[in-house]
Amino acid sequence: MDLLRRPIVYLSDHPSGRLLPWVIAVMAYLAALGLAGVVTLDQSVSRWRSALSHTVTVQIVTGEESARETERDAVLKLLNNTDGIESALPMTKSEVKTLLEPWLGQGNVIDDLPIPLLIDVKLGAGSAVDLDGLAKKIGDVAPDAVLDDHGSWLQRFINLAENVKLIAAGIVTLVGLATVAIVIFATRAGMAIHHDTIEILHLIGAKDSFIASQFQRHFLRLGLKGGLIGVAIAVLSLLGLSRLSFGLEDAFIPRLAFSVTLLVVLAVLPLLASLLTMFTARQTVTSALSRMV
Amino acid sequence: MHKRKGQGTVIRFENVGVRYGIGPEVLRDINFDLETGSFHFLTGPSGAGKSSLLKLMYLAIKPSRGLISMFDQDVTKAERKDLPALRRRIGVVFQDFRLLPHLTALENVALPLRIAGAREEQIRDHVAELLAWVGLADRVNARPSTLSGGEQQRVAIARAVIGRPSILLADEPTGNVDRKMGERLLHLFVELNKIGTTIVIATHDSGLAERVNAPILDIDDGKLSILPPPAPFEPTLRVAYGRGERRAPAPERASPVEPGEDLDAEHHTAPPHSPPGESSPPDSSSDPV
Repeated sequence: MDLLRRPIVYLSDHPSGRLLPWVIAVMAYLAALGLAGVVTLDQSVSRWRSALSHTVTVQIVTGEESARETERDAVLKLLNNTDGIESALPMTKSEVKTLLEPWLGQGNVIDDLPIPLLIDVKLGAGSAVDLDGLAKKIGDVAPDAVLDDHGSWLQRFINLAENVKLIAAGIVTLVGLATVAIVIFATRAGMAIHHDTIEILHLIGAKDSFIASQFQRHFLRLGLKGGLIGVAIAVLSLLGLSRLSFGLEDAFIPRLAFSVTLLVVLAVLPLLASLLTMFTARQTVTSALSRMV
Repeated sequence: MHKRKGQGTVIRFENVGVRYGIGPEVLRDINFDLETGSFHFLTGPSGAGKSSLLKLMYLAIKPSRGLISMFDQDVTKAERKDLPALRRRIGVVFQDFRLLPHLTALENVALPLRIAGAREEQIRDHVAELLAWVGLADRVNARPSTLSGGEQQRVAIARAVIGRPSILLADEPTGNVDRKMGERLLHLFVELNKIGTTIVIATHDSGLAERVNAPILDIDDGKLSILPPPAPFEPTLRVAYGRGERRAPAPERASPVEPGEDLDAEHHTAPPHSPPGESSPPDSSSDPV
């Protein structure tokens, strides 16, 4: 038993010492969810972006059915002879029907409607196909064909996701700032309660760094404890969310997966919380001490 | 600054004034020099400025004007980062002890060494030895709240002297204990003075100054005057060191204790920093508190 290693400033017996880890836990929980949102959206956006740059659709909308089929064959021939295109497959009538079903319902309605002919084009990975040039060439062989690069509407989707991501990042920042504020108040409360102890240490020749170290060690522990609790609860929440989203196959629902990035972020968060808490406490104590003679 | 051989001025006040905020000056035109190894009392009525003067000397406040030099260094102009090193050379016994309540006697006394970064083993032996010397060998692991006033006072004194300060400042160090304990503590200060510590003791008790024949810094209404050592007048008032109820009605020495002079051959207490074998701790069983 080493008595001389016990903390000189005995902060643990104060209610703030018991409450603070839980407040930090809440903050860490919110930060973890926010960061999970940022990471998930970021991954979804890059997934969408690659989808955006890798698939295009050619639609042949107008004209007689036989003319449309002739144009389709011409376009297919052109596409298959263009460098950088991995595949160009015409969609069958039943595939198009499946696509339209959500809007038009099942039944034979579709049979009576002029269904546009669609060609699903996959661009080769890493190839830079000049889409504008391609559109022009397609227009030459098939005047009724339209090249749709999904750009306009997917871009809006990406914009939305990017903005949600920014808001999530903003929330994480605000949570961090709120944590700093809370730690400043807790440190000041601790200093007020232990004013006599601090004054004695000061008067018998303790350097500011020595006194600050008494506080920062305490707050490092509180921050680590709070951070671990918060992140643990956040992991449980995220597991629940990912289980709920499991089985939803829509490509445009951001997929919550425990990617390596997310795991690293979650692992580092308690450390960040404790370091943030520690440095805030140190800074608060040092600046308060600098006002003493 | 001049320095005599082995001596010199350790504290110098020149035209020092102190005011708090916009209030009146609580100390005015304070001028004095304290020689290294001197022994002074600081007296004066309550509110006369004794505490403020002590605070100036233990670097808790800065003067509003004037110059204070300690250890040949102008402390009014010293940088903040240089003050801890100066403070470590000044031991302070506060009037209300100011022990840390959650630390044991041992830990409280060890504090100045811990702050100075001393190694654990050194701290432990050194502190235990000093606590034994002030008669608290069996109380090393006691918390201040379980110690009597006299015991707390001795812990406070041990904390003040553990770092071998050049200057020892004590504020009413005998104010909280009975007369016998007061005399015993006074004896301790005289012993420390003998090994070269400059000592200033603030007290209300004018009798103390007579027991130790030392000059007096007297403050009245913010002004300081230096009085010569008082002439002894009653031999029965001299320090009755020793154990139990032993009195000294027929003293071996008629004059009061002189600082720097051996006190009582029968109860010679070795200073704490002499080799451990030589020290004979006061018998704590006779502790009247």
